Amino acid sequence: MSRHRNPQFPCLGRRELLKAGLAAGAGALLPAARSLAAADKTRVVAASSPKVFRDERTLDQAAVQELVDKAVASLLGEKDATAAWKRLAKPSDTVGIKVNCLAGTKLSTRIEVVRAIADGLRRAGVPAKQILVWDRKKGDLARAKYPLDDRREFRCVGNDQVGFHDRLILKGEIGSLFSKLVTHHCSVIINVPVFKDHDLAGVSVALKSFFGAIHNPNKYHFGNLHQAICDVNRVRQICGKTVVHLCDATFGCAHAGPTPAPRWLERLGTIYASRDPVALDQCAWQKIEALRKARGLPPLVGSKREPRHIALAAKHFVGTNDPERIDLTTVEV
Amino acid sequence: MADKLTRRGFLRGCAAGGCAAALLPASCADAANVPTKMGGIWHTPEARYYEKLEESRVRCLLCPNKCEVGDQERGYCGVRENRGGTYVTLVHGNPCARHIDPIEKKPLFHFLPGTYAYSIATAGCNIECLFCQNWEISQVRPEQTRNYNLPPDRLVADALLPRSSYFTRGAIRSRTIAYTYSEPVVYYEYMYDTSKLARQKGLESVMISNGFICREPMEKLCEVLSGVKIDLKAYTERFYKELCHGRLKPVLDTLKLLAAKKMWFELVYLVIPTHNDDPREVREMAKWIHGELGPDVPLHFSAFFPTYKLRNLQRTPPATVERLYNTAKAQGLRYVYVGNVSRPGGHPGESTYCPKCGTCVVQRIRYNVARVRIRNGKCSHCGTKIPGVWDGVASKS
Repeated sequence: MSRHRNPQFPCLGRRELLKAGLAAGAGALLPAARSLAAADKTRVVAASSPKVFRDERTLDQAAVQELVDKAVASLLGEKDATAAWKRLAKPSDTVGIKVNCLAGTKLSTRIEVVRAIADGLRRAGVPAKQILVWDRKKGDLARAKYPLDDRREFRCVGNDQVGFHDRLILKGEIGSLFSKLVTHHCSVIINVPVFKDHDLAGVSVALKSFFGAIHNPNKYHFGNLHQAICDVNRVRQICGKTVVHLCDATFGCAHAGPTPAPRWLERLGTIYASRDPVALDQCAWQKIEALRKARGLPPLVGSKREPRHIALAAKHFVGTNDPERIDLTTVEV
Repeated sequence: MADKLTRRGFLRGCAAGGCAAALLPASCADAANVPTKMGGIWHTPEARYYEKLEESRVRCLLCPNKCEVGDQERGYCGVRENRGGTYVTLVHGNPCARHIDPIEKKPLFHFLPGTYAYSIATAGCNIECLFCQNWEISQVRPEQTRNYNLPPDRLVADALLPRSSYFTRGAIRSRTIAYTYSEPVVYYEYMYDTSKLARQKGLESVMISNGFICREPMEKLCEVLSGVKIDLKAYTERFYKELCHGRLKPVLDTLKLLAAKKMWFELVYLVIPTHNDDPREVREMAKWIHGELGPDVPLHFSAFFPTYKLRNLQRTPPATVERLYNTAKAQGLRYVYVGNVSRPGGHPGESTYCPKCGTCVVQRIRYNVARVRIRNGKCSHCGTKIPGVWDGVASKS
């Protein structure tokens, strides 16, 4: 997929759009081409390694680095991880790494994963000062033990420090101000959500993570939640700038989220990587359902908490949730 | 005057002025120069009206939303946060707006007419109207507004100082503190504590609200308030659901409670073209007001202008507002008003008339009171009692 996107269809890359158009045209003409179009699947990589755990709670930085590199290289079909990182960001880019640090040290994006991503970006030539690790509040980053004052590897910033762009963006259900990090500062965004259950949305992975980019997420936690999640991801400043979603599933939870409850914490040692947030969420949801089943919990599907935002986002062409069109590759490191 | 001032007199005056400034109470001087900070949150006391649930969750019981909030999350209002199972308010003593307004601007037409209200607001609201006129403060969090550090004691001291404003000629003293602009329910604790203190210092308190609040906190609040203005957005659940993300019934319950408590209150109905300007709907609403609250409750019809998420509509034509004004009058409501409708010399629907003899007892031109013909709460012409708060005491006909 090209990083450059068609402004009319910001959720699709130029190359994807052409491919889809050609495939559709060919599909209409030739039965054989239909199978070709079907073969063009969205990739989701689930890279796992038991070596990432140093002990019950901490991660091994070198093993995490290897895991993240492998996930990104595998996703982009590169043998060399640095070459893969170079395809995601140019040295002139300002890269925003969107983390999810709501849940303190227990269930936030792990600092080891962020360090591995920042390292990959620096190898691709992006200077440390142009790598911004961001979330809603500086206080959230501090509680997750991010190094706020150490700028050698990256810079940590909260929306509360940079503020929100003063133009109200209206899209479907939402009317929000977006963080200046999204509208002004970053040319490229890497989304690094956490793998977790959510008490209202069902799951909170790649799509839900961008609630951290708007000024009023509290307004969308009621009946309009699923549509709002979908609509935030349809805004051009989000889908046009996000080049990859790397879900931190080293630790996760399949129940009682999004706040961390120790007894529901899962040690998975996995990184999910995809350029399609809908496909990634679909795969993460299936994994959460499997974990819930293993623990004897009722499924989310059919319940009040069914993550309907995934299907809604697919309906709005943010990505695909069709299992037939998702190529889930498992990589053991 | 200037030609009578000698050099000695001038120097004496300067010296006296300097001494007076130096001897001003420290609290007054501090209050006059209240520090502000972008996103300033200086005080985070524990919220009232919530219950603790399992796994550090809480349920807010302040407004009918009854948000269930996980640890580190906030309620729908965005100003009350769960911190490890303790629910705290982030806006106690952190207002983001303070102005001196005529009480008519609230609008409260039967409440100390011609006086001024020291008006404050914090960030946040417990509903989201697509037509909100103050959305820059009501639909944001306290981190996103420039806030004053004004705990209740400093706020009351500040309110007692004579001040000038856009609406005043020279410095004036406010008679009232008005909790307004955004939604006071979300800063309930701040409003309650300040109102209690203000009453001790001789200041009245009025709440300008959407009325979306639970019964118990509202009952408690009635102990310290002198007047309330409620925005009745429409008379259908559909409107509340689709345009406000709220519900009508709790608002009607609040109105019934205010009537039962004999609290002075007035209603405002913002007329939005095509959404709530159907005369049949207004007729039903007026009937309900007449039957449940009484014919003396003032009802203000106000014209809408396009803003926030409702920019695709035109301003409300004056004729529409006037039609609804007449509809409500025809249902027997005695004090119906029009607002936001400009007319040179003032609109007749802005003034108060004696229901018995028809005398114009309070003549208004926009926010200005031109003439008051009420003595001891009665029409000065025929002696009919005019309901309202005219001298600090509520009187009903």
